[in-house]
Formats: sequence, C-alpha cells, structure tokens
Amino acid sequence: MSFSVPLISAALILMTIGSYALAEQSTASWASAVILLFVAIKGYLIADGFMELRGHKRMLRYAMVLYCPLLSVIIWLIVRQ
Amino acid sequence: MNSPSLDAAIAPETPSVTGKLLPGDFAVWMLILIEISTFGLMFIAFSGMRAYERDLFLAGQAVIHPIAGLINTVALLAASGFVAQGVLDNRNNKQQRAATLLMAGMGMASVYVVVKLWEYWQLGSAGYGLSGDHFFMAYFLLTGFHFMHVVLGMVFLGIMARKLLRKAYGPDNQAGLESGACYWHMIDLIWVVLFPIVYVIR
Repeated sequence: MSFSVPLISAALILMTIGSYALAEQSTASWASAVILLFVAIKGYLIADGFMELRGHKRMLRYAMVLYCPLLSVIIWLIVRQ
Repeated sequence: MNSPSLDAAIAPETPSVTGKLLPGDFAVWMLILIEISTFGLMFIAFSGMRAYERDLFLAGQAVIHPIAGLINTVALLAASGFVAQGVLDNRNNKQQRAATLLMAGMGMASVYVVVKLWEYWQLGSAGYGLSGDHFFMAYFLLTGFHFMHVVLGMVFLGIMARKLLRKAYGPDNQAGLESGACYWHMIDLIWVVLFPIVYVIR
C-alpha cells in the first residue's frame, strides 16, 4: 500500500472535523474513546505517511507510530475515572 | 494531482537494518523524540489534573474557543500536507514548485498564529492568564510551548523555501529539507493530541 499526500491530508482533516462534531453531540465516555481512536489513526498517518517512516524496521519508527495510540490509551484511562 | 508514492523515498542518511534509508538527519530524530516525550508527559499531567479537578477543567473548557482550535488544527494539517508534497516535488527536481508549497505551508501556519494570538488576546482581556486557576495555567503552558515551536517551524520553512529557490536542495541533496519537514510534522503530531484533550473531550 502506498500513501498519497492529498489523500492523507483529506483523511486527517475529515477525522478532525468528525471528532469536533462528535464532541458537540455527546460527552459520553464512548465519544471520548472514539475521538482518541481518531487521534491514534491520525498519529499513524502522520508518522508513516508525512514523516515517511513506513517500511523502516527501526525502533524510531515504532516509537513514532505508537506515540499517539499509547498516549491515547493512557489519556483515556485517566480521563474516564 | 498525480502524486508520487511517499514510499519511493530515497534519502541520503542512515540506512536501517532493512536497507531503507531514514529521511533527514538522525540528530533531528533524536530531537523529535525528546520533544514528543516532553509533550507526552505534559499531556499526561494535564489529563491527571483534569481527573482531579474535573469541574474546574470543564468550566475552563467552556471559556476557551473550540472552533478556534478546530480552525488551527485544519490549518496545521493543511500546512503539513503542503510541506510533505514539497519534499516530494524537490525529489522530482521541481524546486520552484516545492518552494511555493512550503510558502503555502507558511501561509497556513500564519492562520494558526493569528487565531492563537486572537485567543490569547480574548482570554487575557477577560482576565485569564498563567497565574489563573490550574486549567488556565496548564492551557497557557501547553499551548504557549507549542506556539513557540510553530513559530520556530515557520522560520525553518522560510529558510528551506529560500534555499529551494536558490536550488540549494535537489534530489541528491535533501537531508536538510527532510529534517526540517520532519520537525514540522512533529509540531503537527503534537497538536493532533493537544487539540482533543484541551478543546474537545469533556
């Protein structure tokens, strides 16, 4: 699979608008989880797509790709308390 | 637009164990790791404070402008798209177009700066500041620290655009451009986390 810059940009912007709209509709815990899931996907797209780390077998790539998902899980666990 | 694959990257720096080359300079990646770790700790601290003072943070969130945060997010994402496309165009020997894209990225970043300054001015006029409650202290620290990175990133974009116009970058000399671009994408990555936890999640 290859990425194209316009496609990544469009996906990122759509997910951002979707997050905003969802937050306007609901303050429930599941809504926060979905918003943080979007954060995880966006982080992956930025690291692998824009930063061009896709295909690397380095710890660096794993650190960048896992940054948003890991942080999202930690934040969700804290916020849902 | 016929956009070439980002996987087709051929960078002059540090080959990985699979032979694929890392974009930009390794030192910049170390800086990026330090920066995102610092912001990561700040995000966790912000979330922890929010869990202890939920009502205070919800009241603070009601004062700030989520639509301004949304505009800033879209502006930064669009800027990142322009910068990423500029890196690809440089590889295709289209330095003039790459410089134009980087300047477009600076234009989008300027939107962020203007909106952020407006937000600060609005909040400052209403009496909110660093010395306010915990929410506003954390809000100004987090967003202010990020704001400084955006301004520095814009300076880098300007320098890189100028070098592209002078043909100082090309398909065989792109490590500096890739490093600056990765720094810019890091700024975007941080905002992608900052926006929901400060503005959106309630």
